[in-house]
Amino acid sequence: MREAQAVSTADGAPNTGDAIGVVEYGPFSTAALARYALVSGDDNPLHLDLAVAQAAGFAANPVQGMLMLACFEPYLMNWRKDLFIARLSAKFLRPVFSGESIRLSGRVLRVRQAELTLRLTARNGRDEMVILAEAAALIPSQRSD
Amino acid sequence: MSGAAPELRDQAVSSSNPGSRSGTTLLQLPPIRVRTDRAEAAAFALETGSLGGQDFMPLTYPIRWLTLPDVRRAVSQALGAGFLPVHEGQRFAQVKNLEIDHDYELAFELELSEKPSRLTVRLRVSDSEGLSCALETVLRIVPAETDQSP
Repeated sequence: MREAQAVSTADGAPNTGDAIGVVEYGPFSTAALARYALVSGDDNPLHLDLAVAQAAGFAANPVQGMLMLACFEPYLMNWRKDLFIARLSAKFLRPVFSGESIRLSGRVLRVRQAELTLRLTARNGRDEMVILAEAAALIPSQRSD
Repeated sequence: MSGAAPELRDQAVSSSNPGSRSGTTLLQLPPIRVRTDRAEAAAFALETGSLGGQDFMPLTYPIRWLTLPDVRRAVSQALGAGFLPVHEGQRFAQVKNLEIDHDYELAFELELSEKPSRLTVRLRVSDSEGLSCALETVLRIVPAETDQSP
């Protein structure tokens, strides 16, 4: 997996509204989809066999949703290395196809003591939102109790 | 881990069961014991761009366990022949990071809803000290072949 742009790291106390930055992941080649299928066990032919994808109405093989969602962990850890991600939830809004990249971005929605609520998105090359996600993350070093 | 996956479609949940609703079928699989493997974790971390370094278990690593034979069999049975799963939503929660070379017990629950046609797979991962993490995967069930006639 290749990152096109490094996110600026933060180490002070985060504030509501802080932007996390934008990082591009991909492009997700057919080889990358096959490798992810191997390590994850997700061998759904929709991701690996063009004929199956086309029969299901897709123009190309859709990238595994979990491969894209997995990108949010290094994205957040690149922003703050002291994060513990307690929860991550996501909705896959539209497919991303082999050969395409995604751009992750995020913002601090809420800060409550050492817990951050983060709004996260992934967008494709046409700037369409493909994943809408939210994370709850703990910063042990900011804990006051 | 052995034995055939129990029938899913035949185990309709009573509407008096808390959390159930008409047209919903629930199935709990027998507990499955697994042990995390250093090489498998490293391979998974490499492909998902993990920054955690050696011995780091990525947050999304438990998704691998959805493809264990008994789980795969139950999911395939729930989907039905001629249908494919399309990943629609995903949730992870963790109390603590998974550890390398560590034993865990997996508790799976599958919920099949008819309208809309969805399969939700829930997994709770525990060790001898209690819950480590949990996940929920929501799959939309689509026909393997669409009618593309004009």
